[in-house]
Amino acid sequence: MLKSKTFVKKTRSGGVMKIVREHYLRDDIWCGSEACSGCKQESTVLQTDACMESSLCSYPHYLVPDTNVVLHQIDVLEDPVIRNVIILQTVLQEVRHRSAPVYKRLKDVLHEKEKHFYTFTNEHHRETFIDREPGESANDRNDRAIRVAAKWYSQHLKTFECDKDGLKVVLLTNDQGNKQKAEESGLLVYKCEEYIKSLIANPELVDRLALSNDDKNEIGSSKVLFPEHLPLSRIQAGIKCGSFLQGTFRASRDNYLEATVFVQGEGDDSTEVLLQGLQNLNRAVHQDVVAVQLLPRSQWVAPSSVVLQDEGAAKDDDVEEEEEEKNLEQMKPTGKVVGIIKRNWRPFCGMLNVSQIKESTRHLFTPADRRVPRIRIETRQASTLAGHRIMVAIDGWPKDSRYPNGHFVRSLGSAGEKDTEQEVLLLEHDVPHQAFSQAVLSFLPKMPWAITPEDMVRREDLRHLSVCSVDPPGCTDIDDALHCRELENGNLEVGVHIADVSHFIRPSNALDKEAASRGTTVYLCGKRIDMVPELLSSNLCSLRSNVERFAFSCIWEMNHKAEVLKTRFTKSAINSKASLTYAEAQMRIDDTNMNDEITKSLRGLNKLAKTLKRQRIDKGALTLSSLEVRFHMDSETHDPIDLQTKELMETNSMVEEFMLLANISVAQKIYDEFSECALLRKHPAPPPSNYDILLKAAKSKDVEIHTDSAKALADSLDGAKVDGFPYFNTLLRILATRCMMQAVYFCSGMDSDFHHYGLASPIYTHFTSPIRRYADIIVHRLLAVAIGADSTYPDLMDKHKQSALCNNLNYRHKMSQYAQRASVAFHTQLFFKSRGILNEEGYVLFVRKNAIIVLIPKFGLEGTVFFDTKGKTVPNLVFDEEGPTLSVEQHIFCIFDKVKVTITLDDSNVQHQKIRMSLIEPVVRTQFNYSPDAEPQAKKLKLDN
Amino acid sequence: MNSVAALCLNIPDIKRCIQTEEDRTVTVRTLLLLSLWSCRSSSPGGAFGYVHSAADTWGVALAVRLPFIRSLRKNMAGLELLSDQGYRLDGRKAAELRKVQARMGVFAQADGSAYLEQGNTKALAVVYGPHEIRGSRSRALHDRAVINCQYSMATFSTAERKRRPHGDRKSTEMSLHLKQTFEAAVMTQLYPRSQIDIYVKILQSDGGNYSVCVNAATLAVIDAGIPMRDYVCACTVGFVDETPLADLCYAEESGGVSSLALALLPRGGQIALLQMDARLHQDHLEALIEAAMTACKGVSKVLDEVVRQHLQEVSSLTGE
Repeated sequence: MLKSKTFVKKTRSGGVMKIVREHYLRDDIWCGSEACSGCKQESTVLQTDACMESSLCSYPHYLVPDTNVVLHQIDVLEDPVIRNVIILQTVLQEVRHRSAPVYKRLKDVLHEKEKHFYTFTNEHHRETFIDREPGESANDRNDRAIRVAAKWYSQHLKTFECDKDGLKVVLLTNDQGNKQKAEESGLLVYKCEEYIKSLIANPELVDRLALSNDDKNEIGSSKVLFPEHLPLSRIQAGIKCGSFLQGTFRASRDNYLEATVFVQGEGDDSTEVLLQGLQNLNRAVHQDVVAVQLLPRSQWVAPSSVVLQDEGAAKDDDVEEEEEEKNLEQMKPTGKVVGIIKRNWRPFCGMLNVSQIKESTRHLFTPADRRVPRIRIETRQASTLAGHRIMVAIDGWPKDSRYPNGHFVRSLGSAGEKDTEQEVLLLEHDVPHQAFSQAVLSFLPKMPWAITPEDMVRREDLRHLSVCSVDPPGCTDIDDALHCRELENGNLEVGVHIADVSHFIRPSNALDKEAASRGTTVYLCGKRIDMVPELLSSNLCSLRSNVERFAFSCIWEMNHKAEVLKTRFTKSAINSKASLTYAEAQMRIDDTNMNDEITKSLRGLNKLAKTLKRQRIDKGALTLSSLEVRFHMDSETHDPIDLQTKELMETNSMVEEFMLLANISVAQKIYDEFSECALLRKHPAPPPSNYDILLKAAKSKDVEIHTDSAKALADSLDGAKVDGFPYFNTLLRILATRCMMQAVYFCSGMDSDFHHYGLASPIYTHFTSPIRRYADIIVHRLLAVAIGADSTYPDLMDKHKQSALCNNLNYRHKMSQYAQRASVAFHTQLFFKSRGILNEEGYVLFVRKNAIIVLIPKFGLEGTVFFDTKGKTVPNLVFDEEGPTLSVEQHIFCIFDKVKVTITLDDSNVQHQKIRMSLIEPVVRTQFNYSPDAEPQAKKLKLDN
Repeated sequence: MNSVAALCLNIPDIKRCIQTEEDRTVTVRTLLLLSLWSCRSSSPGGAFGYVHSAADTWGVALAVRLPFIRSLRKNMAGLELLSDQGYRLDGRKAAELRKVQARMGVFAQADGSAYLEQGNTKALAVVYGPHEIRGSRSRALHDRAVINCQYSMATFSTAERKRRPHGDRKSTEMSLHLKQTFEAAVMTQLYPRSQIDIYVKILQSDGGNYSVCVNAATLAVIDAGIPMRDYVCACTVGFVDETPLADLCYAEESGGVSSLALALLPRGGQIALLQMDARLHQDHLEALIEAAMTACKGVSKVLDEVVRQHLQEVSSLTGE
């Protein structure tokens, strides 16, 4: 082992500091090739017959890409065709520096065995290490290092190859200068495009090539559309001195010319900066981290309530600069993007708008997510891709182009098909939905599985108890079961038994890691994406009736006033006597003829639950409302045939009460035991401004709502009634739900506010659904340690790791909810497609500047009725912020108005099929009629007169 | 954990002594193996390298309780401390030490001296004694020698020049640790009512200051001809990605690694000092100590070679 030292100078936060590091050079770094006889390596990565059929290189060869090739063409490198690639350490480090997402993807590729990617630690290899020469820039030095390493490889392979079949090394670079120098030193070198195009078997790879910078002047007109982004150094300086603000860019879903930047301030104070107009948005894409500069106060405006979609390509300049009522309270700071700190581009799902010109290879791509701008891509397969859902990645956004440039990644299938749409839905919401890998499945218990005596050592045998489960119909992942019995002293013993998933999923194995990354099971209409493999979720963990299962039991002793006298937690084995549905359980309770053990136990539970619920509501827990719909599916085609809103029965709330009680008891216990690393759930109180809309709405009906505390809100919601309007209260509760904040998981050591606002509980966690939520598994593990039934492991006690886990869980949870909603929306569309045109009654839920949003209680469906139409005479619209009301000609719409609408499916845009609503009643002076032949662009409202 | 009673010779014993936090992570502050009353009866050993049998009674004491320093878990510099290929920042593998080079007898006027480089960390150690007690006589012990250690850092030892007054907290603490380490290793009972001075100066600092000082001082003590039970070899180890890294350099130490310093009498496998200021899960402790012990044994081999070579040079000069 030779050793030498290198001196590195580094600047840090202004000051210049000399940093000296040792740098050891080794001669035991092997080349990783199967063909090599000179290296004493134990395992090889690169194959001898490294054949990628290429018209440029007919011989077997290894590829050595340089940094820019990896950064820009990672999509190509990820393709299964590309194999036997040497990634140099120099390249890896540069990629790590410049783009975290690409680095992560590169690492994934490196780990994949079939890809035969090898990392060569050239910086520490005695023969490939080079010193930076005087006057040489860091980049030039790295380029030279790559060339030296490639040179070394080709010579090394020439010398040590066992059966001389002429293995060669091909350097891929897009840099002209680098290429020339490499050629001078006798290396085989190609441009990335050249090489990919030469691959005989796979012409479609060419489409995946990212457009490199030197081609960009071909695309787009020469006129500069956007201001230049500032360099990072100036942005940093600006942020430091306070002239710029850093934040995450969030495009508006409704208006493509509007976006907000969420600026995290110190502590809790954070501001939202409003951005309006293409110039000010300046090529930022949803979720980018950007630097914004505030505009002078005179240009601050209120957010426009206009719903605006990017429909035309050219008309982008007529931004609605209407007379904004200078309502100072509504004023939001506005700003403009001056630079991008970090792009957060991912591959986007969407569809191709095939260009009008037949031979053109450039097409526009419309992402499914409306917050993402359209992307210009180049492809030769436009005709086959039309009508398909495809994925596209953005490569760059030059300042003279209206749209960003991107490239095609893969096709998902034809649009409108259920499978394709589901795939899109899952991809867009970042739901991991691949089948479980072999590594994960290998950690499943072997079947047939039975309880062994060793298992029972630390478990309590509760198999004799008459436990039963109550769930929605068709539920196969039963994670909770209950029992209740009278004790000799007259008190009641109530037990909640939760599936003991943590018995099967041991910490830090592949199964555990997979479950942690999935975070939650996602329920779509007619499909479930499991968090754990089915063997566990529907069999071994599921507390089905008449089989012996492991459980984690929480057992209380209560008196008849439902006061908890004693709480006990134990791991147990149970044998559920019945799996009931809510309706079945309700029937048993109501049927006076039935007096078996289970029914008695259910009655006892029901009685206690009612008391518990009353106590909870007295403490100020909120009862909110949201309409959930349920589809009746056709058993063969899986198409929805009927739709009804979910009904709630007494037994629903019975189960819920005990789950809440168990969660609270467990939360208290794990927090007492582990004050630093308990995983809890909190629901922050919403800021008062959130209630504005609710207050205004209630006021319009002369109802007073108090929002000072959860209790006051609950009481005033209970009291809110309007004669002759029975649905008013439900509507109000729906509005109240929209004012709430998201409940989140957090680690107790990282936060001080534990309060759960909605449940009015000082502490809360999730314990009762470990089959479908990962948070519950962690809570189970913590509780098991707390009662001495299991041992800890390092990550469980590390609050930083736990807090990172919480972030992931919160993200997955949010995304799964969105995916669920999107799935319901898609099925609603299918339903209305089969139904044709329907007339229904609904209520106005919100009033916007140019539209009203209508809720149809029968279907739990929300839709927008537009009053202005592009290219048509706009009726006289007057919008009043105070009400808020909107007067159309003579008629005034305000919240809670009853209206009658026609519901139709608008499939003019295949990508965003929409439920269209148009007004029938009240008739606004000019009559609106729906005409199905209306040109696709036009909103379906049309003036008849 | 305030008693002095526990017998501490091997890892299970240590684990028993270590305080376990309520969440089952451990923070070893400083654990010392002291020869308090122990070796009164033992016979004078050879010049160096005398090893006591394990039957000797060793006292253990948690001598110093340092302020609890919370480790910065965040990898601040954003460096990848251990690559997927198993190489560290400077190209070493996880268990590899830095290059150790040393010279003994660098100064003629002192009784013993040594200069030691471990990578870019360089230290100078000088030993005076044993001699009669300087200063107040009352410090003298009737049955063994007093060991006096002084640790300092040169003003030019770091990237930025910094005045380092004597007696600051850090160096006082370090002096104390050195003193305790050498009280465990030097056969002080041979020199009752006398004093041994050990002065160590860090000339250049690049991580592992304590261990380099111990290693340099060992050579200096040997150079002075003061009998020791064994070499005392020290090494720091850190814990990254479930892997123990031996002999941390500055970039690694400051990169948010939980590091542990261990001084070992390698032949008997006895631990003279164990120190860790970061939190670590109990399950990892054993692996970490094991790695530290292996690293220390590696250091001892190098030191042994240096001593033998020095002996050869000296004896050829004196013509023996």
